Amino acid sequence: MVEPAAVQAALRRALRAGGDFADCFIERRRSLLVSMEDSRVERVLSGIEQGAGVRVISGQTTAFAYTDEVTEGSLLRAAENAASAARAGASGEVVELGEPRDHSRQTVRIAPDAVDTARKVDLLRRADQVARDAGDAIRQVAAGYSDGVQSILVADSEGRLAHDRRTRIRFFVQTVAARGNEVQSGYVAPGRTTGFEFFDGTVVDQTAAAAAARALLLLGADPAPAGVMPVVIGNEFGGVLFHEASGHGLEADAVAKHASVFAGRIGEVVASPLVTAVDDGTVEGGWGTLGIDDEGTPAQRTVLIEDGVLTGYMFDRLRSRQDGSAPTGNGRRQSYQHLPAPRMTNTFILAGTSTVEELIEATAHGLYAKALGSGQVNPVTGDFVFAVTEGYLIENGRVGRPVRGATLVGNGPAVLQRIDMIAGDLGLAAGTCGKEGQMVAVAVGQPHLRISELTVGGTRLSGGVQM
Amino acid sequence: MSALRFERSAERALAAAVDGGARDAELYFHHGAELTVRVFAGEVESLTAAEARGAGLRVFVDSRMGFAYTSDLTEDGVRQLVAGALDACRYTEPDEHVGLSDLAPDGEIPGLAAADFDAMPVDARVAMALELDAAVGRQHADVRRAAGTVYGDERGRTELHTTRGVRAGFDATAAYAFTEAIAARGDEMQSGHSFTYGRSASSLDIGACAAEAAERAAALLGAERAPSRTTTVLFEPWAAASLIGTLGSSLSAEAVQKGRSLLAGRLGEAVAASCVTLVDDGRLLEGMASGPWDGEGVPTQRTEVIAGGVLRSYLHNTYTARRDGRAVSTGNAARTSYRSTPELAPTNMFLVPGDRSHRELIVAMGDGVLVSDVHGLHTVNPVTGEFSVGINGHLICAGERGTPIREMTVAGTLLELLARIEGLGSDLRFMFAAGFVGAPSVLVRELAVSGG
Repeated sequence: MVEPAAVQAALRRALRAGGDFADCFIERRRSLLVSMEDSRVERVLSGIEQGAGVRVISGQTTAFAYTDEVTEGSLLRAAENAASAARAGASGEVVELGEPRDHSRQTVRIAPDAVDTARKVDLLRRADQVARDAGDAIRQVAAGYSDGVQSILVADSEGRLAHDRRTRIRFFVQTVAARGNEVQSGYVAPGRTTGFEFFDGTVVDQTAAAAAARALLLLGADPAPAGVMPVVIGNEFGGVLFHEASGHGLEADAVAKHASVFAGRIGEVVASPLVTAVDDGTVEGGWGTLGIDDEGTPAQRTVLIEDGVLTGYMFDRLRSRQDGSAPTGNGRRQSYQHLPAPRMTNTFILAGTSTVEELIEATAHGLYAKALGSGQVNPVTGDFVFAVTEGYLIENGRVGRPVRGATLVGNGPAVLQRIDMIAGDLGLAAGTCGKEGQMVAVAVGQPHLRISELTVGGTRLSGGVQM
Repeated sequence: MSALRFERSAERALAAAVDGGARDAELYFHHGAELTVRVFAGEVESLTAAEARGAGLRVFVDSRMGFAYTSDLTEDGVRQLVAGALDACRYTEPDEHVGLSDLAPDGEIPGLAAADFDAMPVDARVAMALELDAAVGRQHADVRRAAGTVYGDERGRTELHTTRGVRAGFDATAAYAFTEAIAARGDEMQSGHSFTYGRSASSLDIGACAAEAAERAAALLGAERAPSRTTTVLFEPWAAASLIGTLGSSLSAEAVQKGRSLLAGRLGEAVAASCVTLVDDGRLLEGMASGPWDGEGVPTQRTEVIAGGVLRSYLHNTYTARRDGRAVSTGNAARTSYRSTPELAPTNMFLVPGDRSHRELIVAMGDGVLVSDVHGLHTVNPVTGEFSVGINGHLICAGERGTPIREMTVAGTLLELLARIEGLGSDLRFMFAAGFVGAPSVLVRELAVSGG
């Protein structure tokens, strides 16, 4: 990359017309995707992206410019562009950059780029085989392997100079099962911040088997019931509901804009007393794990809700300056072409004291949403919609027949209050979170938990399924 | 056609690819210059002005395809790009149908790049964003502010260079503004959005955008969960377009060939009510997904996908057309950026409007549900067409708009939805989805709406 002296010069240039703060984010990312469908290797895509973003903050306004060349000259040009876009500012001081600090948290035993692509192709062939062997009804299998190594350098006008290296590996299997006119699909996609040792165990076989089992299970499943009923939500990716319906409202930009029902409510009861939730960028191997965030703040564990009481928000540097509080390591960006914003890392509800069996037994009639798909939430109202990708009826305290096509519809803050049982089986799952057009890697998570009352949207209308 | 900008890098890369054993090679370049202004509470929150470019290289060795991309266009970067693409050919399966298109890029779409794109100074564009944000608060007693307002524009340059002698490039410009209004009464908050778009800042209608966002937010105040029922549903244009957009993946010939399309094997059959005609048109001047040629240089065209309710065509790129044997590419090879290979996607896809006004349709339905927004579209199963999406809107009683609704869903399958369309409005509108999708108001009978 470039010398610290060049970065320092760019920061001075960025603040030449004034400004409270300037920073420079330099990134190089190497990616590989290998995918298979129809039992054939279809895509081997490799790529390199590099560039630098320079921003200047003056009061409430941020000016930003980026470049895809990482040279002293182009950094200065980007800094000049940011400076000329910045509105009049105050001091414009630049502190001498300190010693560079390496914050990478990961221990990567086998660097993925040191592994021959042929071995990655073998993993896909294995997954294809395992999924097809699961049953004659499996008609199509798509599998994919991806790895990426992102190296970043962050420097700012307060003298911070830090770098981080993030290695991510993901594997996915999607299956299509068909019988007669009916077609169903299953999708499973684990990911970790780790090296190629991710595949030392049985992750390929497990992923393929799970994706096949889900599609097969849904064949012949009944249409989902519709109406208001108690819902037991599965662990791991079930945490997407908390992420979407509550987590985004705990990000400091939403709070500052009063676009969050959690604004101004620190110390108040916002959830059932059973609920303790954290954002933790330090979880080993977590999909959202970082050494530092994209503004150079070390990753940390932030307690958001403790025993139902709101205890904290997630901050980036800009919002923490405005709020007068400390940054929490949540300043993240998709790439050098994007501005940082408060974003979640690994966000999850902590384990409770019940067992999964107890949750089911306590439910006379309801829905067991064992696996959720991704969801959508209106940040202003907190209203959400989630797809149930693996669901079962609960009848007389027992898990009954599988159902297909269910969605969960509700309101985030209301649902937090209605969590009435939490099991002990906390698990995390990888996801990609989109906000204002920027995608970042996050983990969601929770143990199995029960919501006393939630609207299930399905095609089978029956007024009888109520509390 | 303006002068080529990436000729030197292209010559170098194509020559190196051939030296490395490629039978054919193709370099796709994109260079974009963006301006983005975000406004909140009457202040400029951020202003981004930047340019970026990159290249994607496809190489064909025997009947294998390799691909790599880079934003590093230095000599060293191009060398790595070529090595990466050639290396990929060691692992991809041979496939007789892969290869460059036989059709060459041809023609232009006049007006795709606005002549006055740079005419308005940056300060005036910033002022437009501030005005949109402020105007939201002047529309309605219950609407005092916007949750956020954005102005953005981009000038894009696309070039394609191949070992078969193709040297083509075109420019396109786009400008848009978006706002989300917040309506509040007591403890209740509702939101409503609108956007305006064109080829340059001067073509945006800021006043109409502010008024519509505020009206949509205010109209939802007092929303309640209504009882579940099976009923007639009138989708407003954007809600209809959102649902129609989810058909895009099933119209892809790739999805059909791989057995994951709900429209597989249905060519020539009725798949929708006879009033339904669905068009994909990559040359529509007002379409934000338009271009003279697609992601592999094939000229774009107007394709009637469904005509009079009958499925007439899938969307093809060069690969799927060859694999099909009888089809030709419909110019739907799409690249979301230089980082992607040409995949299949709609361009500007729209449901051809009818002749009834929105009001006439409401009166015609009598009782039912008016849907102004749908949420959770990614929950639509593209293989089975099953959907159960969240809705905002109103109850319709005796031909009049009644109580607003919230926390409700509408469910069914896409094929049921298409078959049960009873009426189409004249009010065609487009929105950004997968491609650029448009629909008028759409009246559908017998859908399951669930709530309390």
